[in-house]
Amino acid sequence: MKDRFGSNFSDADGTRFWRRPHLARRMFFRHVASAVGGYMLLPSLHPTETIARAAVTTKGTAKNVIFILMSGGPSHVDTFDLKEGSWTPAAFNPTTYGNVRWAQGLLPVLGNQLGSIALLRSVRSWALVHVLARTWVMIGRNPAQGNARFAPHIGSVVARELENPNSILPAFVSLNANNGPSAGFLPSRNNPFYISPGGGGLANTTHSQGVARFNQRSALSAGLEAASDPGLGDAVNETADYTSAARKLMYNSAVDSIFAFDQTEKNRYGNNGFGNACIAARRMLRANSGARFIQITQGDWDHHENIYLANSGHWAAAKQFDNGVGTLIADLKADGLLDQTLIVAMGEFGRVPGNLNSGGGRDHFAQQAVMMAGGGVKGGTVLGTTDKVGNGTLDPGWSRQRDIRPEDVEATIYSALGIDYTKQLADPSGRGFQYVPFSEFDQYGPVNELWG
Amino acid sequence: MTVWLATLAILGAQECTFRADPNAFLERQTRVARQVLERTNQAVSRASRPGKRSDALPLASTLQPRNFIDEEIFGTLAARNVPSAAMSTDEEFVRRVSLDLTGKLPTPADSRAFVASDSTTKRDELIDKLLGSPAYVDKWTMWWGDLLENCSFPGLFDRRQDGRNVYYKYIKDFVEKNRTLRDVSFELLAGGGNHFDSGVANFPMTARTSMGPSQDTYDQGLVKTATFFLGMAQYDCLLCHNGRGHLDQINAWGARQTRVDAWKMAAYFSHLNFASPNLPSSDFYFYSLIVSERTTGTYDLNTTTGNRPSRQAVGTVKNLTPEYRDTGAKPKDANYRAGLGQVLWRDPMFSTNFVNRFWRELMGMGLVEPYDMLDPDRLDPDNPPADPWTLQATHPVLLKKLAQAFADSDSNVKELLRLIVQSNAYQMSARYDGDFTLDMVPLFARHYPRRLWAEEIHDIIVTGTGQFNNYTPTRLPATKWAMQLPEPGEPNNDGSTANFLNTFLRGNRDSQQRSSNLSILQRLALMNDGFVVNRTKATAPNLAVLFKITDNAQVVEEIFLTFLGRRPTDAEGEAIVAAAAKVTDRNAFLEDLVWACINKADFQFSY
Repeated sequence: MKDRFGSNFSDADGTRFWRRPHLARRMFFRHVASAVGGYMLLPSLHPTETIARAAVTTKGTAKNVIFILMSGGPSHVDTFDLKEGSWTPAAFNPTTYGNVRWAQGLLPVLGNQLGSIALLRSVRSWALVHVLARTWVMIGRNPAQGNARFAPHIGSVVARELENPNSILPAFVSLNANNGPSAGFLPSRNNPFYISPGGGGLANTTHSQGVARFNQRSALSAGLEAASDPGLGDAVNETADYTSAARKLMYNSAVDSIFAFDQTEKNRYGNNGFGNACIAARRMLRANSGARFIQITQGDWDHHENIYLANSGHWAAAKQFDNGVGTLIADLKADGLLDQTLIVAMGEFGRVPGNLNSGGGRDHFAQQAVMMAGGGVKGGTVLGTTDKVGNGTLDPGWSRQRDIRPEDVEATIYSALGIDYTKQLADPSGRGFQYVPFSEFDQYGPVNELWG
Repeated sequence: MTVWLATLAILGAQECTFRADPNAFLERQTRVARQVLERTNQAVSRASRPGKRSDALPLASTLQPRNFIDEEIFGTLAARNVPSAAMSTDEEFVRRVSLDLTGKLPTPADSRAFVASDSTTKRDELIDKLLGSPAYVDKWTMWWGDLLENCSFPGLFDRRQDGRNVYYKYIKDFVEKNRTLRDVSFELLAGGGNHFDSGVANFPMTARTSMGPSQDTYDQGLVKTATFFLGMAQYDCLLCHNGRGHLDQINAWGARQTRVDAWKMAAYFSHLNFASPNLPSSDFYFYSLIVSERTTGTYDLNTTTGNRPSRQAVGTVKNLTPEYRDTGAKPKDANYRAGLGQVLWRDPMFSTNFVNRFWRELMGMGLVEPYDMLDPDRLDPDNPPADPWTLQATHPVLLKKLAQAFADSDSNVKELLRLIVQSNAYQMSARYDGDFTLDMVPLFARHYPRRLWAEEIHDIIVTGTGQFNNYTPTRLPATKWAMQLPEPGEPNNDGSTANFLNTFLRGNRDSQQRSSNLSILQRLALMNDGFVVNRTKATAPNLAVLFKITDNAQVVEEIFLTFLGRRPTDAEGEAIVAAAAKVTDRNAFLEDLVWACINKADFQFSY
């Protein structure tokens, strides 16, 4: 049975989290086909039913993803695709590890993990404007195109696929950011759950007036709520679900054990915000908390001037990154979690290779490089080769024989998690939202070569 | 009408007659008001003609239609044999209409006085008062800032704070003066000048697409124009491909459009020019751009790169000049954007879009959803689309009448808002006795609650506690009200408050739209964030005053009115008495009560 927007919801699979007994809300959206930015009359059910998928094989070797957004655009030729020249600071100490030239002096901790790391060097960004390209990487499609205004973050799609209603944390956790692409047209519970870990526990999960006072207040609140007229409908009653989910996080030893950590541990990870996020990511996975897609935003990598200045610019960002991710990989390996956790680190684009600009920096550039580790990806892999300075790709190094694009990285993430990246959901435009755009034309796909 | 055409033809060269002659403006205002009133009266008298609604149901019949909105809403309910909700109580109404029109709760004194008043016209009087209040200007300036996407750093270009500020001031000015959208839309479309100086230059700035060929910018100009002013975001689709094969199931009008049709519309932006003033980096205007119209240029079909598929010659046609959708109208001279401004407001979709957007804001759901994919082929009840298409609106006749009334009033926003909130359809209760089923949702048989904006939640808490922060948006006057912030990125001098506001999903006017979703983080913030907890103290200035009220029932009522905009129910009163019996510290208990009110489910809704 098709509704007036041409969608057939008769075989809808509904949602799994906080499932409600009544069908009314899903059917409601047959009449209010757009929930985007709209009134949350009936919040828990959106038209997210699958309407198509192609027959593809996914890898399914990973359970979790840690996505590190190197905000600002790291210089690829000074990180994952090292190009040595007159510009290279001696302190980079370029060293050969197997088939990889590596700035050992800049990235020493990661240097010890290269056996677990894959480098993708034939990667090219579509855009050179920060927010645009950054959004592109996070939603896996052109932010200037028609359906981008309701397109979910890759993490929200993962959350929709892998969420567990009994877990203590939402499936998509975003660390060290408080803004960015969200669940789009997917249910609001698939929004990024923003946390900036500082080691002192999860923010707003304790009450500054003390637990006794909180309990006293809560009791009064519960009494008032019970005495109130519930006649205002689902929009108001829904609040109770969110309140109880929030209460579950409060004074919860499982939550505390994830987000409370000491100075010794902080020091191991570099004693900075990024390191703290790496600690929290590891602990969320160890605790089997339900977080399946963890984004960590790290920056700043935008070095138009004085890129090699000691203790600032590229050095500072790289040191932070090296200490945090290097330690994280080692610890996840020790925990036995690395094999099931795909780590992806990339910026929104690369930086102009070769000689520095007149300000001693590097400007935006389309060629970039991506680092991956774990999750079944074969360590030591280097895909693609670029020309002498890193201007462009000489050999793509993968089956599609072209540059790797953000959409391909997106497909790789989905495939690693066993998610059919060609799936299409009913969306507010009525055209159907594809997990990876243009998958019906097989335009983009996973970089299977990473699995060796 | 011809007078207005003449006015528009010379706009841009000199001041609009509305402003040049304030007396004429006032006269016209009065005339418009009278017209709307007459229309309302006519509608009411038509509605009460015998036979029209002879089989009205008991509940619906208790609500007398006040204007043509009610005629359509209650007429449909009666025809479908669905009873409506009862009328909102005075206490519900004063809370709802204050929040919806001004973003603020009524003061306890105002709420009491309104409930106590015997005046039979008190609701209309309240509406007039709210529409004339400064808070009305703040709230709807925010609304327009969202619609026009006024932010400092969108993804595709840099407006920067100085562009944002002049745009904010322009918006605030037209909201304050309730200027006709006909003139506002013209000024925005034709806007030029340095975008740090000229508010209207910031609309064409929105077209700026820094990656890709200039055609991408022309396309973006059309997409923003069509989305904001016509509710037709489908141009975003059509600028990449023909409608056929893509929009066939979605949009009847779109399905018969070609990419060439869309390009001809985008060609209205093909004279748009951005120029740097070429100043040293120390200069205030270093980052500014000068927006102007070139005298030559076409929309060339010669691209292979950028944000959209290649644009290639169609047959022998290698470039295009502007042509308006369906009518084929062409600009009279080289000022293409002014030419677009002259025809845009006369497009029937212009009025339809705005009445649908404002209806949606006040009624919780558009008459057409999705509100930005209006289908010109499926809106006219006198000319319905062929099978299998159906009319797009839940109430096609109402949408048409509203659009006509709006057009007749010279796109007078305040009159439109007044018309809607005066209707019994708006004034119905959100409570509904009996089953409320799916098929009743599009009928507007009850009022739909909306979650308050982040700014509204903020302002209720700071007003109620009397504990304000000082926000200093870059190069704008300081303010203590979130609703007076120029964009969601602010306040940049108070990160913890900005975080609190972001938790309530105010969007960024670029990649994220404002959302009224609930979330776990919102509940955590209301329970534990310092923004709330540090204010729910007896030392907070307004609470210190409230807590001095010695009568217990009175202080409880005052707290309820201050934070929830209503008095406690009897059952709530009993719950409070029971809880109070367990505590010894009166101030501590009252602090808890304030906290509990802020954490009540109904706190965060207009209902």
